[in-house]
Amino acid sequence: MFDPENDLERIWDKVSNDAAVLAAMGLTGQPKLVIIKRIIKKSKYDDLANTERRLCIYFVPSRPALNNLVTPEMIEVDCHVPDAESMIAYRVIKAVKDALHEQMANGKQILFAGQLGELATASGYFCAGIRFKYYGTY
Amino acid sequence: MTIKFDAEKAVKAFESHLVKTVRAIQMELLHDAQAGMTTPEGRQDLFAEGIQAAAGIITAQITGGPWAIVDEYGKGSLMDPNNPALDEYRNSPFWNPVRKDLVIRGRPAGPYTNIFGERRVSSGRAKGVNLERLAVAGKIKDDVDDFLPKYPSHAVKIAFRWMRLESFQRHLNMAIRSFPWARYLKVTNTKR
Repeated sequence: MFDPENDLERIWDKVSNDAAVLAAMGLTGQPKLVIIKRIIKKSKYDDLANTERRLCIYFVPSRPALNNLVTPEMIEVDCHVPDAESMIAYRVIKAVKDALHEQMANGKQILFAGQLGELATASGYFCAGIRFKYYGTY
Repeated sequence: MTIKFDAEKAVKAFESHLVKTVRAIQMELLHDAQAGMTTPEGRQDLFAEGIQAAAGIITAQITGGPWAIVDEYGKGSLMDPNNPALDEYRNSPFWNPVRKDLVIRGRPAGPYTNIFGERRVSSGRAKGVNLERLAVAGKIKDDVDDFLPKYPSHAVKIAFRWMRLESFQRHLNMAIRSFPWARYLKVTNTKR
C-alpha cells in the first residue's frame, strides 16, 4: 500500500542503525539525538556548518509504470561532507548501499538504482548521492 | 500464407506513440527538477513547453523564469559563475552597473528594472555598498532575503543527469514494449 511516511521511517531506521554507515559518518557511539540531527529525512543542506557531515534521505518523484497498480517510488540518499573529506562521502554511500540494497522495509524490497556522482551542496562542502527504488501499490 | 508488415504506417504510428513517451520524459524531468529546487518560487517558475515533432525529430523543453534561474544558479557571491547566460545578464540593463563582482550591491540613484522585470527606484544611498554583509549583520530590516546570497541548486542539471543515467532507457523500452506492433502485421491466405 502507499505509505510514504512509514516507508521512509523504516528506511531511516535501517540506515541509522547500520554500524558501517555510523562508522563512516563518524557517529559510532554517539547519542541518538546526534544521529537524528546528522541523518535526516529531508534534503536540507543550506545550513551546513562547522565541518558537519550530513546524510539526507528523501523521496524524489515517483516513476510512471506500464501498470498503474504499481508505482516505482524513488528514494535519494545524499551525503554532504566538508570538501577536504570528499572520499568519505563515497565511503558513506557505499555503506548505505550495502545497508539498503535488496533489504525489506515496510514490506517492500529496496533496490539500488545507481549513483550520479557529485551533487549540489553548500559552499566548502562535497556531496555524493545514490538512489534506490521500490515498488509501492495503491 | 503471406505475412506483410506495413512499415510505413507502423513508423508513422510509432512516431506519435513516441511523442507520448517524450511527454512522459518531459514531465518526469520537470517533477524531478522541481523537487530539487530549494525555493518555492523557483519550483513554481519552471514549466513544461509543448512538444514539437517535425522532420522525424521530437523536441520537448522545460523552461524557467528568473526565479528558476536564481534557484538553479544561485545568487550573489554564492552564485555559480559558470551560468552560460551570466555574461549576457551582466551586459544587460538589468545588471547593477556598479556591481563589478558577484556580491549584491546597492544601485546608483534613479529608476531601474530588476531581473524579475519590476520597475524600482533606488535612492542611491547604498550605491556600491555590500548589501549581503549588511543583511547577514541584521542591518537590513525589510525584504532581507532579497539581499542574502544563495547556493545554486543545479536542480535542472541534476534532473537531466539522473534522467540520462536511470530513466531514459526505461522510457524507451516501455515505449517499444507497449506499442501494438502486431496491428501492422497482415496475414493473408494465398492460393496456389
